[in-house]
Amino acid sequence: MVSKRVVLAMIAVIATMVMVSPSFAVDSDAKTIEVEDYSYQVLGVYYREVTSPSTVSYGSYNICYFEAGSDNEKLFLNYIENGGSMPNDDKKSISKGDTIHLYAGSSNTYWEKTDFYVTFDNIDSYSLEFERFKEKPSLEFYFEAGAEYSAVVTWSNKNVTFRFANESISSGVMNYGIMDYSGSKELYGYSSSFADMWIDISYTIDGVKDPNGVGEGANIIGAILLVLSCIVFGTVIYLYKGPKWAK
Amino acid sequence: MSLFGKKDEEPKGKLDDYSDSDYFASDEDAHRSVKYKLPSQGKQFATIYATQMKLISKSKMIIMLLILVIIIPVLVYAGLVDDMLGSNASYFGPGDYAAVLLGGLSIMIALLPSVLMSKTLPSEFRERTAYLSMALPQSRVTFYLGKYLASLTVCVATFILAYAITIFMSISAKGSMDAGVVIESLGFTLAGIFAVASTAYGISAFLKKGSSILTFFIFFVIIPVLMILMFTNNILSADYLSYFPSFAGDAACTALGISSFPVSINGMFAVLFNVSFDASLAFNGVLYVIWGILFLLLGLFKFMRREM
Repeated sequence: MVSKRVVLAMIAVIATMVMVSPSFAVDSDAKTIEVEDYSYQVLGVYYREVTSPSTVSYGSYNICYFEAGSDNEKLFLNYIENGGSMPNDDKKSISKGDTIHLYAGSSNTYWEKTDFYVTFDNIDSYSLEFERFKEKPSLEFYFEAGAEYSAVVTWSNKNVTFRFANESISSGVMNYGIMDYSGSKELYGYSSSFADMWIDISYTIDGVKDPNGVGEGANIIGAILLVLSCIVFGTVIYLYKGPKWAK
Repeated sequence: MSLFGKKDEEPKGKLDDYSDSDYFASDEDAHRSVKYKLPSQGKQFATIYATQMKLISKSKMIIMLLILVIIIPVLVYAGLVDDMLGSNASYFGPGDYAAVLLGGLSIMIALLPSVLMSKTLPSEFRERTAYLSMALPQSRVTFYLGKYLASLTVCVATFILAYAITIFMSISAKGSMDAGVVIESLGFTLAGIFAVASTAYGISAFLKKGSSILTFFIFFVIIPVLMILMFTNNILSADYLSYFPSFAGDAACTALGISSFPVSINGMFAVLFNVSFDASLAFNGVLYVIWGILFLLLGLFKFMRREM
């Protein structure tokens, strides 16, 4: 019924598959991310230009302001970009009629525009719409459904609090969890002051999904597969056209 | 008048001594003392294979297969894949991207071989062509395997074309891609196709009228549901689900990247119950191949004993 040669060929194919296949096995795609002394920006920044109705005597707690183009503003722009020391605002040099630049720090910069209350002249409080100036960089880690993850985050600034996977965390304490779904979890800090905008943190996150399929050589496989399929479909088209023997 | 389409001509070689007849024929012309050989098994196989390929080329199925493959680049260029991935796209490597493009593997591995195979053999009997073929010097084994392999070739070619397109799409979107994951995924796919195709073909040997729906439901619905019910009733562990060819599409996607793709019952189950499967080509792939060989031999057993 089936010749010995066919049986031997089948056994050979199966044996080859068994022997070769372990080399194609993909390692676990979960990895550990370990980062030491990362300079993390806690606040995002919103911006608004205002021609002051009078002397600015008070800004809400996370708002600072500068006379347009002043040296302090230049120092501040450098601070929000690169860190360093936070300059004083131009509180005493602003006078009625000047154009001032208002900067609002926020831990939440999801929106392009948002409202902040700003007080002028100790009398009126205005709700002003600010445009997003600098987004807070997000630290997001992607986990697959069912993955066990853990996170240890260390920071020394006690004015800043951190949350990971929507849970408040303590510095240096390990936090565990199991993913219900495939998706990302965010690590972010809260602060109420520009003075704490930049802090140094270290973190170790376990169970993060590694991007799969990173490597070389698939283009050669793709080319071979393309040629093989073209041969088959080319033959089918040739047969459809009807060679003499097939009529 | 010519005999067998040949013109009367001066006979060559030894002439017969029929002096009172006008007809002269050599031994060869008269088929005397001439030994004829049956075509070899290989030649018989090639004839059946080519004939079946010709039949497939005339069917509309081939257009349907190509349309299914073309859907992949259409989805990419229409921007639907990026929309589907959303913000998670940045975490995805080329393997993950390819797994998304081949997300329909579970359905296709159950569907396409079933459609291509289930009517190949019964139609030969319904249209009476098998009765003509069997009267020729033609063994049943080569007839059975020739038709099977021709249909399997077209089926495999469809899937490898889909893989080739997916690889180039993924490389174009994500940069270079690892060959190992592609080979492992393709291994699962080919093993799954072989198992489903052999089952559909083997079952069709028992039926007067082939049913592609039957095989499709066996692999896409019945086996997964039975195994899930057994798992949820603590009769079997979830790993048993991966021992059946129904799991080949999920295993192929998982080998590329994203696991637990919810386009199959296995995938939905994995997502809902947070179950992960470990499938290796060395074990599961070989199980699928053995499954396929068994059903192919079962169908051959029936076909060999079929009364003509």
